[in-house]
Amino acid sequence: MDADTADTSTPAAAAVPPIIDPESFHDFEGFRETTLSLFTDPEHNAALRATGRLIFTMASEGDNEWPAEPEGALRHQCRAAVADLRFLQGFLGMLGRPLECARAGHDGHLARLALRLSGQVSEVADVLDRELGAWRGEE
Amino acid sequence: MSNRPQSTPSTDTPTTPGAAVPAVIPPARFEDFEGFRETTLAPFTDPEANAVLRGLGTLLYDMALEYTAHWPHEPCGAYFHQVRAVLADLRHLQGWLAHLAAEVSASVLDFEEERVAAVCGSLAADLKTAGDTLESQIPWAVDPDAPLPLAEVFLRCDPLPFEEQRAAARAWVLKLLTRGAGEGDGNTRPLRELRELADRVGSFSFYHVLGLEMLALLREGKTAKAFASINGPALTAHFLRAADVPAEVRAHYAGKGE
Repeated sequence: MDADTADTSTPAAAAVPPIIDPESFHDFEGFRETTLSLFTDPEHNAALRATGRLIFTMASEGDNEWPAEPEGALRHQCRAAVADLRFLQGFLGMLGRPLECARAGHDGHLARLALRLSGQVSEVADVLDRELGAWRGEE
Repeated sequence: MSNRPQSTPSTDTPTTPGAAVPAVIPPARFEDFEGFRETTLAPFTDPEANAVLRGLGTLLYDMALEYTAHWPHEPCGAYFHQVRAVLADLRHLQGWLAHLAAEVSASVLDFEEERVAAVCGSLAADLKTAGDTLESQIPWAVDPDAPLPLAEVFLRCDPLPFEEQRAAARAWVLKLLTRGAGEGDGNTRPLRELRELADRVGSFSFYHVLGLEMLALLREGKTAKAFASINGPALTAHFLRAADVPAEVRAHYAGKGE
């Protein structure tokens, strides 16, 4: 590495989680980022990302003979959002587990923040859950 | 990993006789639901197709856990990498909730659905706040010019020769300072952290170069009195007191901490 251009900003050859613009969220359907984050090999990561997107696109064509959503499309999608929120609540809770929170410096600070955000995500999920009510379409 | 969801819909994925519906995820068991997003699985109302994809996601995740040793290490370390993934997933959900809220004008909704859509709009704003909070803590995840975490800079620069270490340290500290780390008494936190890390390593390391270079830069921009008020001279002496400080390092920083 050259002395004047020592690169301290560009990650090595590893795939990292993307920056998602919420307005383009549909481009990121498929696998969870927490799952894809394990696949640091860029080629493998891109392949899975593309596969996930393709599967979602094909499923969304609407030209299939699958059962209709029991509660209607909007409530069905809200249920999915609640499930994904609960997942993130748990993941953030894991990042903020006591062992991590006890660490010194920025890592510990971040862990304590993750724990706090886990509570906030829980509140968001609770609100939507309450609005949806208990009926899940099961007979 | 315990209590994996079964490949066929279980109590985790309640169904009508003919339709698979999104899972009820207990947050404590989130790891059993890696793989596909629920928003992706939602269109798969066919129970068999849904279960196959759920099983595939679980299988890929489990295999990846076993295989990660063969792939490039996560820049900034595993923990920050996971935080970054959470940020991405939060942004995805923020977008989804905003989309569901916009259905009010894009689709014909009944009264109850309209109420839920309105709630989705305010929850999208809550998630935005949560995402913004997380993003502010890991600025390098969204801004390639932001300074990397200390641990990552250390990993990259510790093996370099002194002159290259010094250039990298100066670049990193300058990024930190231009982002306000040096405002008011804001430079005391990174200095304290650097001192703790340097002391923990014991022998001379890149943390010492970072600390000394930060102090040298602060000294350039401050009067002797202001430098003394942040304990600059004593800290410089502390870093130079470490065991096995190379002669060229000692010579370079001699007189810069006064």
